[in-house]
Amino acid sequence: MSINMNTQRIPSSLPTSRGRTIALRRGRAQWLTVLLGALALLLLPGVASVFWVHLANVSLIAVIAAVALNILTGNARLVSLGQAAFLGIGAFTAGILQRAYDVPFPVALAAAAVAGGIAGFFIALLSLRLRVLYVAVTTLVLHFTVTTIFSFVQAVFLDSSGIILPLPSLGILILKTPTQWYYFLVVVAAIVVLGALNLLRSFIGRRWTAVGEHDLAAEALGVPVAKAKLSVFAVTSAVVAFAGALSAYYVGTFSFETYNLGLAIAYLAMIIVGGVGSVLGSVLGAVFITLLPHVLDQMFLLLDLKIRANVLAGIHQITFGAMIVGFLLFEPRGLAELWRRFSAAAADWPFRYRSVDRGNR
Amino acid sequence: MVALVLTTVASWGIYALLGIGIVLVYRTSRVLNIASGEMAIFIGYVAATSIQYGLPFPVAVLFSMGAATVLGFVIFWFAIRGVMGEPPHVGLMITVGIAVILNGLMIVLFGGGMIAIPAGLPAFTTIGQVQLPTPDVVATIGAWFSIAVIAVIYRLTNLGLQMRAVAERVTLSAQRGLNVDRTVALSWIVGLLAAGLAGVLHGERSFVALSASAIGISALISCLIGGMDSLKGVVIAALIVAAAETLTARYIDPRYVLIAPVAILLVILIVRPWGLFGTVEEIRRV
Repeated sequence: MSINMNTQRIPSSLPTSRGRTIALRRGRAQWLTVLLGALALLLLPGVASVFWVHLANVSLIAVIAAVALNILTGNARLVSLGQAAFLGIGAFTAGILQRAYDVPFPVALAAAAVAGGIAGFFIALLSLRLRVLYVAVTTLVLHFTVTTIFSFVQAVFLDSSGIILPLPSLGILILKTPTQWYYFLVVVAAIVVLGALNLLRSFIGRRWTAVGEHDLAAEALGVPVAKAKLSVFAVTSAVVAFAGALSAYYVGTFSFETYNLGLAIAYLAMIIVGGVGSVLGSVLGAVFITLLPHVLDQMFLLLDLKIRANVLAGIHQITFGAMIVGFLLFEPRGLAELWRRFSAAAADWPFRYRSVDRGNR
Repeated sequence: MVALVLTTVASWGIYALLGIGIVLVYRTSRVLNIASGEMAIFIGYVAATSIQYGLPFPVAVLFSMGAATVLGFVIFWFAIRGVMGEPPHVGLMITVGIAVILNGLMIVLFGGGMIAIPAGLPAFTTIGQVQLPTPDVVATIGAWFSIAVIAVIYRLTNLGLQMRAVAERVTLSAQRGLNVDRTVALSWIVGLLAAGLAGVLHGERSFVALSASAIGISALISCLIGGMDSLKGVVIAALIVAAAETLTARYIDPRYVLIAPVAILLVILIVRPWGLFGTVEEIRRV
């Protein structure tokens, strides 16, 4: 009754219709945040130094892979320790094709995605009968198998020191400077993030989440569990392999040593710190974990502490591990939840309490 | 030939000891400990460093076991206690975090280099006609003696009974007046003692280094082949893993030692995912 009387005063972020409830962005405040964020992304290379643009590029590649991992591990609840293996599959596929047949950059990227998808499909076949821990173990097995094959392939068929890739070109555009890469990666990452948001709203994404919540219940509701597991593994692995190929081209060289278990753990840290099962969380976590060591370095530099390089690496790892353990214990929903609470509080300011819980993705 | 058998038996003992540590804590707290290799090598570094400071080998071992007790309690109290009863992947990820922290601590505290743990004994032991490398002999005796001690504790003492009760049904054992927190804490301490001793013995055989925490992976594979909740299974599977690794290193290529156990695990995961001796319901519950 009161709502009808005060139609004018309903906050624009309140979902009052079906269209509103499934909208990606609700209300002026959220649109404003998105616009400001996009503007900041566009202007970044103008104000930041080359080093920070480079870090932004690395973060953007991490965002692409972390969004995919978070759908697999956060939404479908299939814990994957094989992230490094999938990244490596992408890099090696693209690199070998480039090396042997000199295929163009977009074709190499597509081939990497296809190879990752096929590998993901086979791992999913293996893990169809298995639950959480055993899926994690299967991906661990994949990790060791694939990295051993990489080291063998690299030692026998390629250069053992690392493979150098040429500068990639997209038609007339050649990606050379960090800034050129930056705009290219912003576009790709935006497509992946929007694609993930839309996929999770569609029936496909809802099936994945349903299987993750409880596979038997999902089966009882008529969700084809096997198909859902196979598709989520194939799709996310394809995206991860794509990111691996991008990263190999960006760095310009790749070697099997890059794809160690530490890399897989770093990606797990990203989604835990960012927020398990949240696309926003994957983005925040990927940026946070990528920047963390460099921010720490800058901090020590500012404090003028003379720390030896290997001790610094140890401090990075301790911070890293403490982040994983700390977020799991004290804020299992990660940075995304902190951001949600902050924006809710900001929207309701100066009031202390909210009357309506606003959704935020 | 005898030396090859002894090498296998020594690695078998070390993997079995580490694996028993993993299985013990998995049974009571349902946390799959991925960090066991890092825990082992961390305690190994404690022993190696105290020997460098002039402690004799037996005292250094005792000292490192003290460190293992403290570490086990700290890890349980500050990390594991908070995630017990959560979905299994949370426990898995928290041990991943612990592994990274321990790795960093090894670099910061001990430098992360290669250090040997000399036992201060002659290089070869002569038994009758055969000459055997002493480090392997010490590792074999130490590992199998400790496995026997743990088995006796687990089968014959009150503490072992309590641990088995918690492993079977947490709620019921709590209702019978059992202090579950204390029992799980003790199982983590025993697990850390087992892991720490395995690390010290591994260091005594070869050396401790950051890369040496790969023994944790071999032990984890042993647990999975044997069945996550079976002590008998892990001891038998550790033999399979140790033999596969030794044979690969000798006849194929030392760089690819891990591939043979991984291949065996892959077969096990396909045909018998709960492991050789694991409980079938186990896989439902996880």
